[in-house]
Amino acid sequence: MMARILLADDASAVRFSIAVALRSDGHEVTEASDGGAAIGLLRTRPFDLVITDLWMPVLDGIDLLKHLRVHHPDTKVIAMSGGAPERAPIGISMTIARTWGADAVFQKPFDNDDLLAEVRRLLAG
Amino acid sequence: MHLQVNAPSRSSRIPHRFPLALLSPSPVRRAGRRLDLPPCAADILYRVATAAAFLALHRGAGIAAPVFDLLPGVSISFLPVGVSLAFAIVHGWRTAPLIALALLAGSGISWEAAAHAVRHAMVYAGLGALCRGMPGALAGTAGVLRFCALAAVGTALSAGLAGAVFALAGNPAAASVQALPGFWMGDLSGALLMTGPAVVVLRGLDRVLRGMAPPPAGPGGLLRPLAAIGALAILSASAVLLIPAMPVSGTMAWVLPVVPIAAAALFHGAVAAAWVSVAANCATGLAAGPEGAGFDLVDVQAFLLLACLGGVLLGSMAEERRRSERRLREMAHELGNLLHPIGNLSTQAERVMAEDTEAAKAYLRVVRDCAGHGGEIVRGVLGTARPGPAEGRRLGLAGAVRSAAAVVAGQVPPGIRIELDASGEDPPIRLAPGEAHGIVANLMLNAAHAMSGQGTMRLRTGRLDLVEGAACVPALAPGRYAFLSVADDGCGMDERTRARMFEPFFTTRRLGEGNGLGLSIVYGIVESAGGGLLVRSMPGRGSDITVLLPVEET
Repeated sequence: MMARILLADDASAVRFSIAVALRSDGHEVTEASDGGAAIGLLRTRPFDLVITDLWMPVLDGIDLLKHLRVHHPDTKVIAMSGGAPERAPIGISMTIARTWGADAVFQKPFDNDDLLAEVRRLLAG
Repeated sequence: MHLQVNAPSRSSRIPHRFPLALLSPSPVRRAGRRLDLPPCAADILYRVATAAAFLALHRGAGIAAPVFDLLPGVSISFLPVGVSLAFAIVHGWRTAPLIALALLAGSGISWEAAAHAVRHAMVYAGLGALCRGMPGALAGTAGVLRFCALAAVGTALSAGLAGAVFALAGNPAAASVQALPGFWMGDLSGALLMTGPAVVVLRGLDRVLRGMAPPPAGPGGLLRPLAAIGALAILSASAVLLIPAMPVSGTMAWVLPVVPIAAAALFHGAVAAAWVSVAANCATGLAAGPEGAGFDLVDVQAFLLLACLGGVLLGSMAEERRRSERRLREMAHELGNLLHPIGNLSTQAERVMAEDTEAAKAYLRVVRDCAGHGGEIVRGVLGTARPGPAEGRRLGLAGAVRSAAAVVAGQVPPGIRIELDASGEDPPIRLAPGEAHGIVANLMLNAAHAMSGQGTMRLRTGRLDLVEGAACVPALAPGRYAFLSVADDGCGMDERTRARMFEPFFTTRRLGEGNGLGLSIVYGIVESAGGGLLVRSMPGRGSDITVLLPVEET
């Protein structure tokens, strides 16, 4: 099933590798390099799924999750995390992401095949 | 400036303009813009507010002094010493007249009081200016010990000079009191207890007056740590006040107030430990009363001094540990962002290799770039710029800067104006391929980060000749150098940041906004090329980082 997916990550190589995997699975992927750009894109067109990194410059993934929860409550979200803020427990990113409504959370580096399986599961449900 | 410039025409103006004129607009103007004040009014407001804050803090610490003055020659602590020292550390030696005035305001006007005020100002403004000049040397646990040694010498000098003033004023009894260890320890305690907290207060006020954002608070905000430190201070002071009523023996009882000092050090750092120690010291003065309440005061004084020193050292060790943990997290974050595409794109390349060779090649190119970036991280951590003894290429710095700046300008926010002056002399230098780009890109992106999206970034290249005995660039041999100066009018750096700016993974940005490797990469490249770096920065005014690279002789 083809879906419109918004992919937000400041690391261009990560974005590229995930976009390649998603496109090979037949999805339409739009890329954003930070949370602010992603919110701008969300205003212009609808998306079935948002995949976002949690820690990004300008506006991070947590802000994006909050925005999605308020303005697009039906959009599915997958959060990706590469770390935790200073003095916070390492697993905090996962907890924060789930609290703000992420349907799934991945810790980088992960296998894109697992991500694709999760995307399929979320879109089917 | 000890720089001699032989180049003709416009570059001959460099010693005067460089680096003084680069720091504009002034922070006061910036604050003035925010308050809609004309620059001169903003300037007056800044000076008056700074002086008033210092005088209030000095006077406040001085009001507590009678609590500490227990018996003649025994003072548990003289906190105004720390306030004076902090003022000079934050604002430099020009604070001396105000420091003298503050002491005079607390002691009444007489020739003797004036002599003491001058003595106090000379010693502590001098000591503060000395500490200000060696920010790197005062960072970390070794830095705390170095500061303690300097403070011990400074307070001993002050006591000696005070004795001399009393002797000259015909007061031999007072002069002999100055020779007592209790007097010296009182001043030393004041320096150790109060300098750190007063630096934090004065620097915070300075940031507010300059219209800068306050320093970032931890995840729990500012209120939670302040409440915790306040509670620990009350606990420590209460333990001291209860000592006379305690059933346990004296030595055992004195352990109790130390526990909150240690807790503050471990969880909130060196300055928090100093604040809790101030509370314990105040309580000791109150508990002992004018007769000393049967305490062996010099012993108590020495004990409290050691407790404070231990707390501050423990706090700085805990801070260092947290810093290295932060660096590890940054590194893990960076590696995750590299390993993810390396693993997944190589798998993807393998899958499509047979039917789409071009796509597979494109994926592998990204894998190679990621591996290259990983190598940069490793070299940044190890402090080496080149993977091996790579052959450098002879090139002109101005041309390399021009082409690199054109590429990097696209990554700089549009509100930032970039001025490039590469019209000066352009002698040849030797750098490996990509290194000039690495220097320019990292310096420009670092400057852009400091500028919060607006202002002017000035890049200038030219030639500088370092003469024998040039003191401004340590460890550089005299000779001909090509220079690149990148100046911004952004937030600038305080001495703590400046001392650590070239450390790998040291960053003032939040997680995900930058890895803190840029300047350590620049440092590694410049070091390998036999050059040096000159850093000028003022909080609120901006920074000027100048790279000096040796000219390639024909």
